[in-house]
Amino acid sequence: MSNEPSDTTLVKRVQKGDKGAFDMLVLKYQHKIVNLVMRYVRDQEQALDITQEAFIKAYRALPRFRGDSAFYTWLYRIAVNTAKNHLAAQRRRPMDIELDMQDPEQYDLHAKLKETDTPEGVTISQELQKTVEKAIQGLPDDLRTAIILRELDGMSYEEIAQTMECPVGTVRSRIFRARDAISKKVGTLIK
Amino acid sequence: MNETIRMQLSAYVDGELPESETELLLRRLSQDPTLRAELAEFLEIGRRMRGEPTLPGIHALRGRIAAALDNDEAMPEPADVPEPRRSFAKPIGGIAIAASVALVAILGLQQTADVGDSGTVAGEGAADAPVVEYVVPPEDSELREFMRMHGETNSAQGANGMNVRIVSFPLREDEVEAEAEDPAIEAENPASPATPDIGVE
Repeated sequence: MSNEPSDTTLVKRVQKGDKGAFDMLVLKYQHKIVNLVMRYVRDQEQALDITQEAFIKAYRALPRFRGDSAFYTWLYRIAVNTAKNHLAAQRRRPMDIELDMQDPEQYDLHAKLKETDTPEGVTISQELQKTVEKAIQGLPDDLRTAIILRELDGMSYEEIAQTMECPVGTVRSRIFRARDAISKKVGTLIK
Repeated sequence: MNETIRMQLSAYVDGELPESETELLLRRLSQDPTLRAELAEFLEIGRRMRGEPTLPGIHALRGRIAAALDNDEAMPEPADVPEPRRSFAKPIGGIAIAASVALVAILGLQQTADVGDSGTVAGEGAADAPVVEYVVPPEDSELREFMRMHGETNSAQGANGMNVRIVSFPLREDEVEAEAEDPAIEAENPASPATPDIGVE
């Protein structure tokens, strides 16, 4: 879902006053931005507050965004600056000075969350994880293979079609049906 | 919800939706919170399958941001809102001041040129008007001596005899904008030193 033309369309809609389009951008990038902010602050609630602040700053500045850089690059800089300002205000040193601009997800958020997560949060997360795994196991073979090749192996529809020896349209349909089936099982936990 | 649209949504999550269908789907997504909720579910399923970590409380983040924006009075202006009037008013004001000064200077010069050797003043269209005699007052010898000495003193100090020098010019557009710039809001390039979020390196 990380195609730039899609971002450009959404940005233009926000610039015309469409808040729903901005919600789409939040939905798309919230995890990346939170992971990035977690490299600067220890506290999860603070990380969420900083992420919220960064998105609001971006929203206010969007009318002047000309698209010279990609939207995510621009948003990334706002989030980094917001986190740094937060640290400066608290007179704390950043936990991790060196930033890898190319791939912020490489940071080991897993380990950090294990250190700071509450027991209740861990339980809910584990339950959700188990439900998803169980739902996948319960899928018919063709649907399970299609969704695994897509989500775990990152194959394109074309590659999956070749692997499963079926038309691309069938791949598209199978992946959708797999998601639909899993969603029905885990929907309440996610919401 | 229409199954065709949901299937498009699934393909969009994978970056496999044709461009011709993407535009319409994005418009639907912008307008339909239920469809966005479905998108959020599809994305979360993928994250769970890949075992990606999720911060507890992140699912409430979108709601928090939306609520904050609803309460925010500083909403972004639509792109097609015209520029505020002041951008036109300031240069025009500068031009008006410059024109006034120029007019005063021209009138002054004209008056000086019209003073003849005979000491008469002839105004514009004055050919048919009665001539007004301008009598040069007899100079006081004491005053003349004072002026002479004053002039010599000024020359010795390097003064050029010009008492007042009026300079007027209109502000340039970028100077006007620099004054009006709002430092509280992120700029196009938030990494710019002019923005408030910089300074901690």
